[in-house]
Amino acid sequence: MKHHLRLWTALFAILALVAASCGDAEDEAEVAEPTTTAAAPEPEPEPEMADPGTPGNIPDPGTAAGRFDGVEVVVAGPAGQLEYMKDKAAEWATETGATVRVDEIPFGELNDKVLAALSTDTFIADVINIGSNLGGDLMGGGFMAAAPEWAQQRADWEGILPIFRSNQLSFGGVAYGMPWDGDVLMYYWRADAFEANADAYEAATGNALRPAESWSEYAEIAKFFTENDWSGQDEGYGLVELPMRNNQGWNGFMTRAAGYAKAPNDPGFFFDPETMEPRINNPGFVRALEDWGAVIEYGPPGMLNFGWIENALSFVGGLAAQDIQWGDIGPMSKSPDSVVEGAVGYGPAPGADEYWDPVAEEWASGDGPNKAPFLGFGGWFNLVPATSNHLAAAFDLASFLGSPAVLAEAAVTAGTGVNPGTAATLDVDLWVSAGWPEDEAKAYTDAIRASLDHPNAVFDMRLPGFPEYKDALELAVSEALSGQHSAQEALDEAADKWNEITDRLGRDEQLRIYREALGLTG
Amino acid sequence: MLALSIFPLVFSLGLTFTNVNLFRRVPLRFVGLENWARIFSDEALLETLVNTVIFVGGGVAIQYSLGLALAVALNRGLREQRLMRVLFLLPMMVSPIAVGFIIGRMVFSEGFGPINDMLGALGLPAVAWVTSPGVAKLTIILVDTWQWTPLMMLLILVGLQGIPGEPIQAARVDGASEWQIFRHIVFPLLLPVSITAILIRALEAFKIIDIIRVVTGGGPGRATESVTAYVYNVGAKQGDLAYAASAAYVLLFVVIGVSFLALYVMRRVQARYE
Repeated sequence: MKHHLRLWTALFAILALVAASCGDAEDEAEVAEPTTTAAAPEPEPEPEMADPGTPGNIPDPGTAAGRFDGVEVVVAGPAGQLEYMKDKAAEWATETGATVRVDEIPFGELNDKVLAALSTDTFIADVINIGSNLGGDLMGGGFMAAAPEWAQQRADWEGILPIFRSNQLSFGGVAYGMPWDGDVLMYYWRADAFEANADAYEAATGNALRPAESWSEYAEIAKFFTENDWSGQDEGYGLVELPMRNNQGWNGFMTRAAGYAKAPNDPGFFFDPETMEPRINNPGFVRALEDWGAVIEYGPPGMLNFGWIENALSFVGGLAAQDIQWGDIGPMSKSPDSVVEGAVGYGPAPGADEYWDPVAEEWASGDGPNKAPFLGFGGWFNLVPATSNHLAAAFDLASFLGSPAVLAEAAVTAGTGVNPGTAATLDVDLWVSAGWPEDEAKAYTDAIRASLDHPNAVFDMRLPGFPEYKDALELAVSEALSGQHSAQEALDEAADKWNEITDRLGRDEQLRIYREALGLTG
Repeated sequence: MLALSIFPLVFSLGLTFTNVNLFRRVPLRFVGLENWARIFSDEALLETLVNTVIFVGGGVAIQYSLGLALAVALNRGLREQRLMRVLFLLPMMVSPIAVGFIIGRMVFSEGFGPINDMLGALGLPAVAWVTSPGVAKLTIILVDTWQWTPLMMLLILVGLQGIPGEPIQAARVDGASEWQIFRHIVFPLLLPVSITAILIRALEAFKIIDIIRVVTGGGPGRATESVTAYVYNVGAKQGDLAYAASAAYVLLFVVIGVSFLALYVMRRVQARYE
């Protein structure tokens, strides 16, 4: 009997614990609120929860010093690149009287942890620094508070490039995010090596050596530099890219595929915007993958396993003549470990000689190579969850971090993860004041502007289920590049998987969100 | 026991009959055997299961062989035995993530790693350690072996030191060679410890994920993805907890099956010596 009693007591205790852990999150908020605001002398009233998607319902806290006395704001973001943000948050805390706690989450776990927490109504942070391609899940999923007008003004909304304002920071026409980083994958080349090898290149290929405008030129240059000793080191390669699965394989492939498969006359890229049928196995994507597979041999050994860091270090370490990367290469080329300072050329990613027109279902060509800069990852930005207990303070901090002065300083500071995406960060004078030669500063900012302002630019996917679509595509690309399947077989398989994901998540709803993300109505 | 083991087991079993998805706000629904039926048509799960069996079979076999050889050498009174014992144990004390990065990504780096450099110095071609589907599996096994051979060595060394000296002395007096002593006396007496060591290591190896995530990310293609990595992707990245739980149960059944099979085989071998 005693034994039974003990068993039932233990069972009851466990059930009580489970019930407690499943308790209503709002109850927790009610308990937590007095402890965080009690110390404030006259705190501004804050709504407990924003109505997601409805801007302007968070009162303007004003700009008085000490306006958030006693409030603790929690920021979560990727480990390893929040040091600058911490410093700036500390400045904000001093001015407002708040305290800021920054929780660093390993990059590879960030998306999973944020999604899991928000989906289960678990508090993770008041401000989340996250990559844009999770925007579909976060903003489209209704987890985020819409940005109030006053926060937009403090972040100089009009100074943000339109492509980020409408794609990165907004969803369905509603602004949610505060600016931080602007990302686009670009083309870098070793200007010094190009100059030194111009004659030899012309003799070998019959063509003048110039920065690649097309992927075919890029391949020819890569072949030449791989086969000829140019680096002065034991080894030098023609290119370095980003093909690794579960790393940056998605961005590496899409940067190339955009030129082959983004028709200038059609807004769709990943899917047919009328049917939500995947386009990733159409002839454009297939040829892009085949051509990519053909140039992998011109990269450093083991490049199939290269992610962001291996790519960047190979280029600034002087091993590769050409690179496809984000804007970080500019500041990194000035770092003490770089051997390429002042020797880098900057430009938009090359285009394809022909592109697949998915409507006419035929190859087409324009006046020159079809360029379609890919805004892969789309940049880090700051979001405020609708469940934050301190919405006004969170937006006040996020808008401060996204203000022109803070972003300008961040853009020219190595290791911040901030690439230019606003008028302030693309100002040549800013870069000159940071020690860049004027012509190089102009070349760098011009290349970024040319990419971001390009009418055929492709913003990264922002659909619910993005991690699944990405996994399926990266698996296919990796299988094709390692010779396990042909490009067509691998992409057919990925397209089937995409259809399965779309159907599971609801084709009509996914189509609606995809069209919204493309700015299509009706 | 109830809280730590039974409750999570029953809870996760319950999940397998539902449509729970972390990232989709859909009403909880009983779906019967839908998730279990999906397993039979899931080629990815089968592929990762085969990979896992290769990692476990290959890795544990190599680790046992090396561990046995090292333990025998140490037991024979190698000079500086204590120092050697500590040195051999060092890999076990390092986090698998660090091991994956240092050994997997740096030592086995195809372009800049010392192993390919040494092969080059010997006039041999470079090996695609992480980008060739077949070789990448071997690389995962080698990295795992680097870390876990010390555990095998430690367990076997304890076993060796527990073997009584008399039968060995008697065999020597009777003129038995060292190999005969090892094969007919030491090895049979070590079998219980060996079975335990192999089982402990195999059970752990079936859950391999950390080294894989760092070294290859599961690639190229799906060549090095383990079941645990697959379950993590389905559950944590895609939010499909219900199906992830079903796939995890498949691994559990396989582990139980393999454990029984291993015990059966080992006992048969042991019986031969008794």
